[in-house]
Amino acid sequence: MKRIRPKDISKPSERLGHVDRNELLPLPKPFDVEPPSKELDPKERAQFEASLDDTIAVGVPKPVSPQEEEERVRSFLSGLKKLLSKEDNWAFLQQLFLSLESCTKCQTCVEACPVYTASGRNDLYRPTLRSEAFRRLAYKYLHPFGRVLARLKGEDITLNWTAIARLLELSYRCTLCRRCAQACPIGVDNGLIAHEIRKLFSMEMGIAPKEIHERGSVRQLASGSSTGMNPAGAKDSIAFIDEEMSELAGRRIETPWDKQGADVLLLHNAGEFLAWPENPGAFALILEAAGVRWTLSSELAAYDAVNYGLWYDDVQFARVAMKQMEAARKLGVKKIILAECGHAHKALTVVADRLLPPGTSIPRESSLVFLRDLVMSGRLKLDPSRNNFPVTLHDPCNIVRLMGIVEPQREILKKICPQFREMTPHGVENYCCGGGSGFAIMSRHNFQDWRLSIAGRMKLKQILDAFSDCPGPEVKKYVCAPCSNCKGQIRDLFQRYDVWAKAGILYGGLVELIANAMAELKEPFIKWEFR
Amino acid sequence: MTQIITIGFSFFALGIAVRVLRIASMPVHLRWELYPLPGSALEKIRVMASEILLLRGVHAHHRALWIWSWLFHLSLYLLIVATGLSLVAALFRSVREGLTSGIAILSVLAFAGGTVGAAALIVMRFASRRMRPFASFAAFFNLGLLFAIFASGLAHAFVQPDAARVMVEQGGSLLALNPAPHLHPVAVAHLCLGAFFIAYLPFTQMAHGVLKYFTYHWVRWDDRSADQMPGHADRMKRYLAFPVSWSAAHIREGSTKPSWTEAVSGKDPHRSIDRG
Repeated sequence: MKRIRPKDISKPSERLGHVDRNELLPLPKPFDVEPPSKELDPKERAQFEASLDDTIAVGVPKPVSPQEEEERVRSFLSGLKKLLSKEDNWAFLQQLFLSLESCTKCQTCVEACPVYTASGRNDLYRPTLRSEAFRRLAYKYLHPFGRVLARLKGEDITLNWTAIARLLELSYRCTLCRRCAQACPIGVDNGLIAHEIRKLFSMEMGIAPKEIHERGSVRQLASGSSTGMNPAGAKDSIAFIDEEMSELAGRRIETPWDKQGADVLLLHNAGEFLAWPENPGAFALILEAAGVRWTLSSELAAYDAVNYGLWYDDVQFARVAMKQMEAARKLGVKKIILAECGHAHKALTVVADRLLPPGTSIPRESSLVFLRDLVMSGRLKLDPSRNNFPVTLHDPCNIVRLMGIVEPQREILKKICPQFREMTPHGVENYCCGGGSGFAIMSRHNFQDWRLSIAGRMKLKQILDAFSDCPGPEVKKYVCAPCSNCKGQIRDLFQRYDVWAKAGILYGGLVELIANAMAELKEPFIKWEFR
Repeated sequence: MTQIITIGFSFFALGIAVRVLRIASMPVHLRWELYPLPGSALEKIRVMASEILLLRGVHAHHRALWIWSWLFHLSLYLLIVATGLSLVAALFRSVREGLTSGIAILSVLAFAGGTVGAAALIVMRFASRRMRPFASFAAFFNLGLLFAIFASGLAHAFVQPDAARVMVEQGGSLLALNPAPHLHPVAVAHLCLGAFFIAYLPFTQMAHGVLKYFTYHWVRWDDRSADQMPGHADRMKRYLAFPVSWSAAHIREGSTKPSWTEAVSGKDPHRSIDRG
């Protein structure tokens, strides 16, 4: 396999590396035959930057003139300075500086990266490659004697458009799961560096994947939701879901909207309304059955918990977080509960915490903790025999490794799922689903094939291994993934590898399992249909 | 020699102080913790001790490197202990005799282990497929320097049977700022290299021993919420008043720089989309 060094990133070539499908992490039978991946056509290669590997994630058009190329290099350099300035990057400067200054290049972290290991240890996807190239650029161009010292140290690197375009794409070959940071003995965070590179491109150069910027955070701020759904559309969707739930429960289920003074403001990922309506439905059933005083908000950006800015842009991140907090404040709720959306958990509960202006903070809590308390309180009548099928749990990185919520979801599953089993490894050492940091919603060009065949490969193997005692489709099995992005990625993985037909594994959230165990329902909540 | 060592330590103190102050004076960052978090101060000490003394992370994730890296680091710690004991022995005549023989044993162990460890790390950086693509001249230079320090210390122990006593005397001269006693040329080379290393260390990635305190305690393990941080409200006011100079169109237009509050709240008076 080709050896790639950090300085190679600047050397013009058709592509820096290549993924050989024969070297990918092997999957157990009958999944050992890799489905074909879409190859970029020559037109795409001619129009968009694709000099990293066989894939395009961002799709930035190639510069049309040397002047434009020079201008982009200047712009990158200007962004690099801002990334290390107190005024422009006060929110992340300290941890970025530490990660740039401390690395000893011991490569201890690389084996922790599921992208690198699943790719067959392709040098291109080492978590250290993008970090080291970026570190060398920052040193050479920002340090007072950087140009001389970089040469003396043997760490010289050329800044050109080739390097910049590859760094851009490389920052979207990392799911920001931070498993590498967990493995680093010194505390260097390659995930953070990828995050900061993404910020530089978005905040200085206006470059970000369409799915997460233009059709993501920009759309959410303009129309209320990244799905494009306006408040009336959201209410219609929920009304339809309520009807379905009422029919199932045999009594009227009505989701409250904008209820002043409610105890709980529930924030859903609005993608659930369209892709997995049973999830908000199950929440409604559970909260109503437990007698919780709750509400949804129809305020702009507050009926959609997502905050894509977390992955690539501090300003967009803060704009969305402020709107969500403002909506909760207006309603006078006692607390905000984040439904099953991992990045929304971390965005509003953890990362926004120190950003909120004094006096505007309202307590935020994970639905996993809230549901655990409900389930353990005995306020719901639950019959575990209704969930008597093999169940395993996927730990969303944002909720588990990055927030430390490990046990509540397990306590629930151990109570209501007699055949619950863990994946290996799990908890804070879990593997990312491969859809983290926006990947689950990114599918343009041929990126979907990359995120499924490489980024999600380790997770698929883990899921299959968890059910190795009952591998065939005759035993129906369930992967509990309490996060919308993870569910989207697992759905796409299962489609690509035909997992439902070949192994009988269904995926879904945690609330669906709780609803399925509710003794009051005459029919099972889980329908065992793959969608 | 006393002057050379004093200069070395002065550079070290100054370099570390500047680096630490620079980090400590940076704005308080947004929360970016990483689990598992130790539950108590005792647990923090336990985790740090196993990381520093046993290199737990390297053991778990890079076993081929671990034995050599551990040997190397352990030797470095032994050398620091031996140096510390030399100063104690120089200060207190009553314990000098007893300590000197202990220092002699510790030093030889440190020098021998460090020589083997540093040499093995050089070989690994050169030969390991995992490490080679990232090994630069600086990495080889740093390890080579440490190899030379350890090897010259070991050589000194062989060429001068009472090397430990000489080092205690040197420690005494250093503390009294007196000229050094007569030293064997190998000892001179060893101390010169050591003084250079001490002076040079703060300006390299080898300062990770110090920076690690911040990466763990100030980032990875810092899960304090805003309301647990005294003075945070005032601090935020200051940060949110910083001018934003990011150039992307969705952040600002023209040459005027909005404050963070203006950019985030959509009340930037210079941005047409906010006015509209």
